[in-house]
Amino acid sequence: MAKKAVARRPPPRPQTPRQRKATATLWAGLIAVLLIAISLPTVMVLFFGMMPTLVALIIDRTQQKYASICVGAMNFCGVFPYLMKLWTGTHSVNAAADTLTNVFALVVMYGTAGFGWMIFSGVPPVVHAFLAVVDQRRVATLRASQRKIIEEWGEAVARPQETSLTEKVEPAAAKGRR
Amino acid sequence: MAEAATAPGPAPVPDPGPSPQPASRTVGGTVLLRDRYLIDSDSPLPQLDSPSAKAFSVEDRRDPARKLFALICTPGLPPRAGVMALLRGCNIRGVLPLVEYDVVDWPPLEQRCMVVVYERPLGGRVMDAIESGQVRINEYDLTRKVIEPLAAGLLGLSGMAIAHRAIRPPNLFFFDSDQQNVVFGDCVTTPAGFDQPMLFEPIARGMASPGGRGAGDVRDDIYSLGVTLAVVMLGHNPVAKLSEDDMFAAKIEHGTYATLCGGTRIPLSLLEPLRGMLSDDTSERWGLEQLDLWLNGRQSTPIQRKPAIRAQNPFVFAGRNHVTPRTLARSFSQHVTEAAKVVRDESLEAWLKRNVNDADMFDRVKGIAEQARANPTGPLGQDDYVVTRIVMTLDPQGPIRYRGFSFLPESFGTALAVELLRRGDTQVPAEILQRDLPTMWLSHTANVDPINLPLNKIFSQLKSFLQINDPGYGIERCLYELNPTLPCQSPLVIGDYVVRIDELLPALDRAANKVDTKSRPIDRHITAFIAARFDQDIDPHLRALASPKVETSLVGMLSLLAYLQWKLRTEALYGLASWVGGLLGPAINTYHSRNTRRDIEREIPRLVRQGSLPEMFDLIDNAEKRRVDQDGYAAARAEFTSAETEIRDIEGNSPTRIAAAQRKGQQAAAMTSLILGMFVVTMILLLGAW
Repeated sequence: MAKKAVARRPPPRPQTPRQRKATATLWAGLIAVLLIAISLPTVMVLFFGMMPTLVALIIDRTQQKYASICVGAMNFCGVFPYLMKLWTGTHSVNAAADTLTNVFALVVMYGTAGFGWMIFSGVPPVVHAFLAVVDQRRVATLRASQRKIIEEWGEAVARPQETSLTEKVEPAAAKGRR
Repeated sequence: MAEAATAPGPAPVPDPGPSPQPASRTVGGTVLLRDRYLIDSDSPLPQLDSPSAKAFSVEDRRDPARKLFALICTPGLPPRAGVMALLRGCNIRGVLPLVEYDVVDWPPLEQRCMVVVYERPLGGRVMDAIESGQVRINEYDLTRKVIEPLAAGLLGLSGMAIAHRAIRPPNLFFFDSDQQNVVFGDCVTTPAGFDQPMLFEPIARGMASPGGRGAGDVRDDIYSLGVTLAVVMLGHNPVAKLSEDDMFAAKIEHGTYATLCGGTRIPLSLLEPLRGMLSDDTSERWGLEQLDLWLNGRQSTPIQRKPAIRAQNPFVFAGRNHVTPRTLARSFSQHVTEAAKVVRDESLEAWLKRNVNDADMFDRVKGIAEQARANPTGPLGQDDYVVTRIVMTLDPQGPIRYRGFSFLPESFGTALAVELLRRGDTQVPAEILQRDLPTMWLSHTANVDPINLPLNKIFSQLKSFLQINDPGYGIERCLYELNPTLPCQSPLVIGDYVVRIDELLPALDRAANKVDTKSRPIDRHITAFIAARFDQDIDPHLRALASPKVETSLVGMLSLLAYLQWKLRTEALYGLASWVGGLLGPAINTYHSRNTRRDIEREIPRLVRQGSLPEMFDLIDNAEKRRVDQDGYAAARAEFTSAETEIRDIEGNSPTRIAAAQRKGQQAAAMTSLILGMFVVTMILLLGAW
């Protein structure tokens, strides 16, 4: 009977994107609550230190989130020394608050985030210029190849398609001769 | 045409004689025929000339005592090669023995000609002997010395289904030096009846032009013999003083017998045969049987002369009074513009209705005249066409007469050949076929005859040839289909007297040394000649040859010539191969690959040295090579197009491409940040640990 009931159960419906988002938010909230409960000073430093990354995540509407990655990676570089200090020193809310109220620390954290943004803005033009050079080389290669084709097959190869002679001369002429 | 047209469709060549090997050798002014007969071009025999063939002395190398002479045919006139083949070596009493014939190089004309060798008649021409008084022929001699052997000659020819068609007093010879045996002279050097004076031809055939009189039959020979006997008996032409028109009018209105013998004293014993032989009604005319019976002394029922149907009142036209539609028809054909006016103003209809008791003729004339009046400017109303149809109606058994070209349908082929020889133009015969005049003639009740049935099919086929303007068709095709013994008339080979298809390529090979090799070795005559004489299917070659594209046409030309050489097993043709090879540039250029072209161009001289057109064709149009070239070309096109597309894409800076570049830049930035971040974190960790 049980087997029959299992067999009769309909397959699970696939989740909609909205449902998936809600599920992810639920999990993130759950993890955040857990982290706050376990390590509040670290969460405090991370939250306030990584604020630029949060902003970048909000304003970066692309699917790939390259800007957020750039800012986030550099931002973390700025936050990580203070996290290390917290972990290797006193891991308390006061120590976290001291760090967060230290202007120098904040300048380092937010400055590295700014550096990340600079990378995001500065690297693509360089890459673009590099690709342009590569393309020029490719065009030169293709033109050389076309010149060789024309040399072997004549100018007609570059013109629109025309009917070939073989289609016009009756093949039977050749057949008959043979 | 009858001789040529007995088998509709591509007519077989009735052994024109020439052997594949050179049949003659020329040594100075003498020509050696078949290694036996020496024809001396420096020894003419004018006393044995025929109107269209000059006579020269001949020596038999095997029997020098034998007396022979040769007649050199006029190039361009189709000789009766079929009759030659039948008569060669035959010894028929009353007929000059034909010893040999062939095509030879004839130095005086600097071209090849058909030559016919006969036994020499030692007693000379009969008429010369009579006129010089050497011989006197009375009525008894006439029967024994003349009629009897000549009747035997006709019987012999009739047994071989040959009509002599050249029976006239100057063509009668004494075969022996004693002037006892009378024989008919040559009958093969020209088309049937070609050299006959009109007097000696039956009325209908006499009205046709010399080339259009037709092969005829023994009844026509009997008629000619009758006229010849009358002239020989009288010793002169009794109607010599009459004009041509008067003679025809007299023959038509009074009959041939009355015209020739009416005012003369005819021996009583000859009245009966002359009446029988000179009857204008072929169904009543004596045949060989009656002649034989008469010679054996039996009496036949005398033929009652039927007078021609005469009109009650004459029709005055072109200054003559016409009392029979037939004379009027002849006059109409000579004065077309005036005749067309008469047809349109209804005076002809009125005369026919009141004076000629022939309702069918009247209805037909009325129909044609009404059509002409209704289409004064259309093709159906053109004077030539209207008058020709009227003439056909007034004289249904007479020849077709159109724009000065007159012929009996059975002889359209020879008439066409003669027209080409004389005027160099075939426009009028082509118009005749286009306008279906022969079919109209054949459909007339007076001409419905089982003998004429094949002609309908032939003319239908000719019209279909004419309607195609491509090489291998047209009026030239008609010319060669109808004249199996006519040599190819192309200026390239006309001097070589090419009658058989296997003689064509060697002739073109010789022509390569004489002509401008920038011109093509094939023209309309040669193509039509091949189409008519070659028994293989060459339609694909002809279609390629007819292409407006030079390169396709050249490949068609080469394929046709190569096919001929291959099928006919012709030996190496160095001159022609060189000629053709020099013209193949455009055909070679049809290959796309420059390397292939260079290879072919390098190979051609080798094939020219071999003289092989099939090899050359294989080189130029090898199917495998074409396929490889096509495939390579297609691949090259695809590669070129792909490269072009890519270049345009790169150079075009399309939004997609810009977006992609931007994405790659951002991706690189992200990767840079990540790597840098990881490096920094790692360093901090390492420094912290250290």
